[in-house]
Amino acid sequence: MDKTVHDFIESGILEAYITGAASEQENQEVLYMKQHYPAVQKELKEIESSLELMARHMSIPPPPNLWDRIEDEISGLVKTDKHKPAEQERDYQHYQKQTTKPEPDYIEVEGQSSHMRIHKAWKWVFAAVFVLGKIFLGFAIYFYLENRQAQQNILELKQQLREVRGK
Amino acid sequence: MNLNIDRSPRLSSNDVLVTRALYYRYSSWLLGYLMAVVKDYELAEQYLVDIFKDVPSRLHEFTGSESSPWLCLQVLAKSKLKGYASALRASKAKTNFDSMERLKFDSYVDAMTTEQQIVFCGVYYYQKSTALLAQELNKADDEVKKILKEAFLMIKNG
Repeated sequence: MDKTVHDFIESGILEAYITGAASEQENQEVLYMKQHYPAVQKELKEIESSLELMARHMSIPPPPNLWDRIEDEISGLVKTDKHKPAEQERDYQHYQKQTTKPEPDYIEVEGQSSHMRIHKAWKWVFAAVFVLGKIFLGFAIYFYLENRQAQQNILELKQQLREVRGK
Repeated sequence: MNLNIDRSPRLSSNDVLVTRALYYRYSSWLLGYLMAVVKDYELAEQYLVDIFKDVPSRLHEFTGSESSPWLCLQVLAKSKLKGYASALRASKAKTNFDSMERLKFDSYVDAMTTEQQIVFCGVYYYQKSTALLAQELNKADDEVKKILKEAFLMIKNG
C-alpha cells in the first residue's frame, strides 16, 4: 500500500469522518481519498462495521406497539396511486382506516414470531364462550352425578327384587 | 387569515413500507444508542418515534448515500439530539466529564483506557469534534484522532 494512503488511514481521520467529528476540510479530503483509493473505501467500510457491531451489542428492543404509533403519525402523509399494486393498496387502506379512528380499535395478541390484530368486539365473544363453557361443564358434572345415583338406585332395587323373589 | 394549508410532503405507501423495514432492522440498535445518550427510557422512545417519523421524507438520503443505512440513521439521530448533546456537553463541562458512567452501558467502552473512553464517548455520544476534544484535553488534534483510531481498534478486536 502507498505510504501516503497508509499514513492517511492510520491518522484516525476516517474514524473522525464516520462519527461526524472531522472538520469540513477534512471531510472533503476523506471524500477525495475515498474516490481515488479503494483501500480507503475498504477501511471506511470496516469502521462502519465496527460501529454496527457495537450498536448490535447495545441494542434494546422497543415496545411491540411502537411501530403502530409511528405509522399512525406518518400515514397521514401517504398519497394514493391509481396504478398501485393490490398489496400496496391493501396496506394503504389499512393506514387510512387507522388515521380516521381517534383511538386504536384493536387489541394486540402476541404470537410466536409476529403479531395478530383482532377487533376489540371479539373480547365479548370470548367472554360469552368462556361463561357458556363453565355453564355446560356444571351441567355435565350435575348430570353425571345424577346418572351415577340413578344407576346405584337401580342396582339396589334389583337386589331388593331378588331378595323378595328368593323368599 | 389562516388558511390552514397542509404544506407537509406527500408520501407514497412504498415509502412507509421501506421505513417499516428499516424500523424492524434498526430500531433496537437506535434505541440502545439513544438510551446511552439520554439515559431515560421514555425520552429515548420519544426520540425514536421522532426519528422514524422523519425517515420517509428523507429516504433519498439513504438511497443516495454510499454509507450503510445504520450510519444514515445515526446522522439523523445526531441531528435530532443536537440540542440535547450541546446541553449535555455544557453540564459535563461544569461537573467534569466522568467517563466511568459509560461503563454501565457497554463492555466495548469498558475495555478502553480512560483517555480512549473520553475521546470515543465525546465523539460518539456527545457529538464533540476532535478539535474541541483536543482543546479540552490539551492535546494536538492529530493526537486525539490517533486515540479515536485506537478506540475503534478496541471495538474491532472485541
